[in-house]
Amino acid sequence: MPIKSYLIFPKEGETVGVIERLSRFDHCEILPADNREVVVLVTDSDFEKDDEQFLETLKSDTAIQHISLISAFRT
Amino acid sequence: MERKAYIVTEQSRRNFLKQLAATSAISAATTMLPNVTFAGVEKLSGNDKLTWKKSPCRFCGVGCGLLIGLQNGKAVAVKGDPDCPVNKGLCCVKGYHSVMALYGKDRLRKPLLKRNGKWVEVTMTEALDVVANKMKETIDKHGKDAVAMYGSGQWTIPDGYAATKFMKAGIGTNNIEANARLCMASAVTGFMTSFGLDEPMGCYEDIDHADVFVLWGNNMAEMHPVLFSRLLDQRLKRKSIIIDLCTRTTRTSLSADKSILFTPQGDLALANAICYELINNGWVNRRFVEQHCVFKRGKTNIGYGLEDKFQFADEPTDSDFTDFKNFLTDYSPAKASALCGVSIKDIKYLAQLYADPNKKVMSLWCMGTNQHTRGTWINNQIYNIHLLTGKISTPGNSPFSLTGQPSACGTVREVGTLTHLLPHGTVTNEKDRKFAAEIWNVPVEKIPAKPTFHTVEMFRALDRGEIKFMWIQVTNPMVSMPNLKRYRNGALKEDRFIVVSDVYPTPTTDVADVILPSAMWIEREGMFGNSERRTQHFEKMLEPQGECMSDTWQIIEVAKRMGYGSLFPWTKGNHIEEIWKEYTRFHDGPDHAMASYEELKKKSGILWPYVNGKETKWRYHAKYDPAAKGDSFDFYGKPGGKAWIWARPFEPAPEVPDNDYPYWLCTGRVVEHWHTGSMTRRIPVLHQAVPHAYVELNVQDAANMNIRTGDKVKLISRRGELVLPASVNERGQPPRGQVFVPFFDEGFLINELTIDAFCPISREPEYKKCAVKVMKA
Repeated sequence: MPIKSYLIFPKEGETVGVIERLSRFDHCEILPADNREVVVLVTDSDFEKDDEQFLETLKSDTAIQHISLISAFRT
Repeated sequence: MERKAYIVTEQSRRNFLKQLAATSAISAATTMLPNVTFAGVEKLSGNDKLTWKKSPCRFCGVGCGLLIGLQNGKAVAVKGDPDCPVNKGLCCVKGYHSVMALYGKDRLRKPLLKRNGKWVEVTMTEALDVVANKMKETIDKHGKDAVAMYGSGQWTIPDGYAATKFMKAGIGTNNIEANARLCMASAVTGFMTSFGLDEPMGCYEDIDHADVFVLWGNNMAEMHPVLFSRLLDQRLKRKSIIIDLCTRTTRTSLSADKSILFTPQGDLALANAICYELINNGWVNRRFVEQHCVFKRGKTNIGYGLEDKFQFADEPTDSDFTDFKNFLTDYSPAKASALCGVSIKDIKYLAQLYADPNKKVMSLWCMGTNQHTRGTWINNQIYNIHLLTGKISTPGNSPFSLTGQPSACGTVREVGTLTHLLPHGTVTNEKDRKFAAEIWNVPVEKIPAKPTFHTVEMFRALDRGEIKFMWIQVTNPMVSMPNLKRYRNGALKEDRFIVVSDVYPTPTTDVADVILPSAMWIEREGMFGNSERRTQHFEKMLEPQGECMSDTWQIIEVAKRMGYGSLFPWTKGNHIEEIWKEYTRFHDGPDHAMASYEELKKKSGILWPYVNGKETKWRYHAKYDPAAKGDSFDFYGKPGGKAWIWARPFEPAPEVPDNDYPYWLCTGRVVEHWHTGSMTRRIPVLHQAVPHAYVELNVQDAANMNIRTGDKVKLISRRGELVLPASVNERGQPPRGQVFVPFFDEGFLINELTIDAFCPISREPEYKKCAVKVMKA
């Protein structure tokens, strides 16, 4: 049951759209910065497989410029 | 006592890990993006039910405002306080994780008494009885100067006030010192000798106005990361220039526009060379100097304090501009370059930056200049540059001495928890003693007129046996004292009695006879005072764990037991407010007036002097400072309102590398850990980031000795030796012939190697320079 946090850097002007798409996922909490185009994403997946799938979805979002994995806990 | 560095929490483990994950990501974001804020953090992990309360950060002297998230009687989250002008919502990695330091598994929660060599849990009442009885017994047998108190720049203002009142007005001894002697004393004597009053003339708002930042031996990126992010922000917005003057390449060097290496102790020559250039190129602001400065010379060849009972008193003599100019002929760029290792071109470049009439210049410094056997001198010399150019006491023109601890200024310097100080003035001044005696309602004869021991000498007196009883609060001298073995052996001598108030076991509690568990930070009410004269109040947000008690109340309880209860006629409920009211009577004037208790409770810190509801951002200029007379500058701490420009020469360090000990050793901190690591090493994220100390080596030196990162390296000084892992070409990179070791790790006591020499004026020890051998272990 991994818990992970990421920094998501959307492309310029795409932050709102990225937040909207992220907020559709379960087990995922998002925290946009107030003054920069960066979003903190915390995922709490039941299974490793779900976590991997979610990461693939993130990678396929063309509005995201860069994703940084910051921390990961296997619980 | 076995110690482990990890924490536990009783909240949901998953929620805790999610909070940790979020906090780590926020920390990473704030490192990458200066001033980024996440005000919605409370919505994470069901934290919308949190109650948020303001507090200054527990750790460094920057004084960042935090908002502490409270839930079910626990502190569970932290975010930067957007209303605090210090950090404007930003925190560093220590600040974001600060509340985790409350919940270490081995937190001291019960008083401990050593009986027959073993620790026994006792009640707080019994422990306080033992402390009071032992203190009384020692005074009866050996006199009042046989007992001592050693505190900290992490004492809250009420802690320090209660301690100094207890010792000076109760017992009647000046045997009180604090660890700020080890970090800020040279800054104080620098201010006092140049301006006659302590603490900076400017404030952090100078950062928003300055065009040039010159960092004198100050690794701000790691030691003052939030302020450094403000510098970087100004560089992005206004193309300000950051100059890093350093003895080793650090993260600050990598972020600076220009990094200039100087040889250890070479700063004395470099500063004089800049003055030489200012004068010889006609760049002096003559009008400012004529109207607002005088010139002085002091004693030279002043020694290093290596002998017990070393005495020194400087004797200023009058000088003038011509004499100062002649003095500087020994510091032409060519001559100075040979002493400091800085190229002639770079010396001239620095002088031009300071001189440029279109540039506002801010100098910043901290331990590199203060922990220096000529610490007072180099402080004076930086002021000399600003005074010669008239770049001072106006927005953006600011020589700014940074502090290391959250209340080194607020408590130690302003309350006066040093042997020679009172809350206002010094013990040697009869008027100051009378003023204190009047407020404390004691006969003036009660307050001794003669200072006793500064910190190094206090521990020497403990070793010699002149001090038999020492009460240590909120500090860890058995990690932080230089030439440590001598002072640990002294503390362990048979007829010494050591009381330690702390929140975790440390090497200092290891030498204790009684351990008092302290209420930590937001488990009690208090105030800190940061580097920029900002007083910051925090309320009691949590119940103390176990039998923990605030340091203030511990002192009051012992004082009552010893018959000094009339000095502390307050209740547990009102004593902080009453202490504040009494203490601020000492500063009741336009040069140091402080905000009321009620105002401090409302705001995220208030700068003093605080007059008619207005903060004083720049002292010594009539436009900004209500205490300044006339229509421009008035350095009213000195006679005639004139600041002193000092002729201070280059003199070598007390111990320089030679054939037997060919390397310089420098010590310091890392961003992840606070001081001796007793709190931050119990925060998993910080502990895992830097789990142990290491020795940084120059790449070429390491190659010559066939040393790689992780290899064991032995360091030997004339005082001790230590084996620790190598770090080559990693975070910091010393020049050839130098090594660096951080001091946060009690597992690698680097201060067993450092030298207990000190600045004869400030009595602050040298932690940045001594000579060692280096070999592969």
